[in-house]
Amino acid sequence: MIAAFIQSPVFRLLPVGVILLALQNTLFVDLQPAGVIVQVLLALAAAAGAAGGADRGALAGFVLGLIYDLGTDSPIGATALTMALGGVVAGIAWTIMVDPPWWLAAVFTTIGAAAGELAVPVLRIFIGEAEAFEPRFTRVVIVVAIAAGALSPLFVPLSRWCLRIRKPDWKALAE
Amino acid sequence: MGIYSPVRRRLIIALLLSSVLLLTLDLRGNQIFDTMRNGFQQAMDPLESAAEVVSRPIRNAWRGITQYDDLADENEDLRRQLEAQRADQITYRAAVIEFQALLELNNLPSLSDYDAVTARVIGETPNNLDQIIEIDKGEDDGIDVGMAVVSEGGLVGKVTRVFDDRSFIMLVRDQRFAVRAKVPGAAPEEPEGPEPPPTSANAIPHDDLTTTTTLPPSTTTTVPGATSSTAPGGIPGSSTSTTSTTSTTIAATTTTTIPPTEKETGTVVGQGRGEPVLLRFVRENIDAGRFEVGDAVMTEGGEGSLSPPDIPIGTISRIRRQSGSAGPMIEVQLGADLERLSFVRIVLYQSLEEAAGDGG
Repeated sequence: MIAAFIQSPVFRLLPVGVILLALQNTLFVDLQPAGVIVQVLLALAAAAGAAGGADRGALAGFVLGLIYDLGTDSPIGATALTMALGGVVAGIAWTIMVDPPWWLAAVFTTIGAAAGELAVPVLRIFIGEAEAFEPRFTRVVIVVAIAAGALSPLFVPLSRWCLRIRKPDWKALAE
Repeated sequence: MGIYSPVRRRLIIALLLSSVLLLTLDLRGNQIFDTMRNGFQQAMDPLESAAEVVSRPIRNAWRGITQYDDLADENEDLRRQLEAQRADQITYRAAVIEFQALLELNNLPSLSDYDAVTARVIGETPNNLDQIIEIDKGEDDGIDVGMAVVSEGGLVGKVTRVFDDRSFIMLVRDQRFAVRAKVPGAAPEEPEGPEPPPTSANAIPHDDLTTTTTLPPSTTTTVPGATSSTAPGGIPGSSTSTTSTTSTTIAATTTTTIPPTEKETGTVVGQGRGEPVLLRFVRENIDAGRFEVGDAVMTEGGEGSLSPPDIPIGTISRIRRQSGSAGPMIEVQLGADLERLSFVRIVLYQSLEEAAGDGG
């Protein structure tokens, strides 16, 4: 059982998620481009989706979101749900191309992060908060999405390592 | 294998449903989740401390790049303000002492009557929607959910979640924050009829207040042949006659009637980071006077309120009057600087309703 856990994709994701959460709570709370807190865990979840497809994006988003919920005051499951959605949306890249190039992965990481951040106030409305959309929300989504896209050259390889995603080993048919 | 293969689809659906299940359980209140969260956060403490140390040079460099000009301007501005406020402080201190004395005289509660716990701010929520900070004091120090949190500048927020040795504070600017507030002593409009002349300059926020002030005994010495002397302060009607050269002690007692100070009440609500706090649901009462920019906004308190009365929230910074039945939109400049909170005080106050609930 322990061996199975060590071999599972979650094993590497947990320590990476915890370290990123520590950085999120300290460094990224201060580094606020345009007054917006960059969401690094969401960026990693979206990068995992772009790197490994919708299912791996959902898995990474779920695990990272749970870590985030446990480490902050947000309801448990709320961020897991929104980050999983972000990972799934980023995984749509795989419907276009298996193993997308870095720029396409960056584009889909951006889209996935935007979807994940957009889902946060939508979910808040579902759980009964009256005014979940704040006036600067458009700016928040744009900055979070662009930052995730900028981090994707770093986070796509990191998510591949965490989730043990191997590049497809295809050979040309001509030979 | 395509993205929508049955296995992948099932995995995605299972994860999303699990999230919804966890969310539902947590929102209904689950002790196990609270314990897990507390344990996880305690385990994260050393890691966050390490991250704090490691990332400090980066944060300092970032602040240096992005905030240098702002800080220089702010520094200059603050020096000017400090100069101006040194004189004001002396005046205000005297007024506060006088105000406290009057409250005590009339057995009225004041903020200093409540115990408070000072706590250090140890964290801030890392997402963009919630405006929540974390402090290093909790249930062990008597803190409870709903208690008001203040700083030197005024109201900061309220306690929303409490663990044994830490608590979470929702800041005033959070969109979910709301507290009953009042604008004491709004400037009255032109009086329509003859009014009794006011006998005190103090604007004390209490309706129909009548106070009896007893001055301390004083000693007055008069020269031979003098026929009258005046009590200290030159209060009219307190003169007395003396015919001897010995010292005479005069106990002067005056009755001062302070006209009822009008006040307007509403609800202060947050709008998120970077947006002004609003005072809503107020109806501008012409009889009571109109609001003006600069008027103080304070907590109203009362039986149902979680906050004690008379905590300063801020001052009115902008008024947008609207036609129709909707009251004016009032923007409030907070007294507390929420961007630079290091220490806060938690007022250990429970509303009467809540105290009654605890008791029975």
